[in-house]
Amino acid sequence: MTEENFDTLKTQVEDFVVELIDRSSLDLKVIVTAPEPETIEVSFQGFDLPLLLGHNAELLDALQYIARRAFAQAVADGVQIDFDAGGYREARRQELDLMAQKAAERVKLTKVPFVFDPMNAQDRRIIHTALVDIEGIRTESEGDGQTRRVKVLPA
Amino acid sequence: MKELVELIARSLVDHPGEVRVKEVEGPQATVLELRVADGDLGKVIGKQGRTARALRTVLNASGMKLKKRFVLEILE
Repeated sequence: MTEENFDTLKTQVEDFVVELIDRSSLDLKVIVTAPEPETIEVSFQGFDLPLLLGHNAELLDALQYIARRAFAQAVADGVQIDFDAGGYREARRQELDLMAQKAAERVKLTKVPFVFDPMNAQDRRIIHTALVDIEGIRTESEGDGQTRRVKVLPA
Repeated sequence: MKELVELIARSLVDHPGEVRVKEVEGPQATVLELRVADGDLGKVIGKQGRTARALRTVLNASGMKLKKRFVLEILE
């Protein structure tokens, strides 16, 4: 994608999200940046941040999903569209990392498999990645769709 | 709320001109009836209903702000 096309896309994404938030009556300010080439980051500030981040950021993820579907062609062409707010993604990553380490220690000690609560693909991936180099255990995912969850097993 | 569903649906489908949303006021909730072109049904429902679920999540959040309940019905 040329720089010009990317800039046009970024503006289109911004206009779409601003209108989406406006029509949702949500009290949020939309900030759109391009922290890396081919990456559009949409973040939010404002009164309704708790609404956006409640229930493991269900609303933030829903908006991100809708935007990625709405700009599916650009996503297929390699553009990344990421939604974040109040440092949520990094905080969540650290939380999942800690959960992963604790689960791994427990499975190593007890030799009993540990099953996490269902998580979305992004969160499951963080768990798998966190434990990929830990000896004595292995991870896999089980279940379908909304109930898919990570399982930690003795190796 | 009609405008919100229209915006999202139009952004997802191949035939945005054929998106129709009807708002039906009920005693408990407002029902939003969404109609799209035949070939676009999958676009608003998504794999395992994921797109429809995302739409409902946005509607619920908006409903909380407006202190109203909204129900999305996707009509064939």
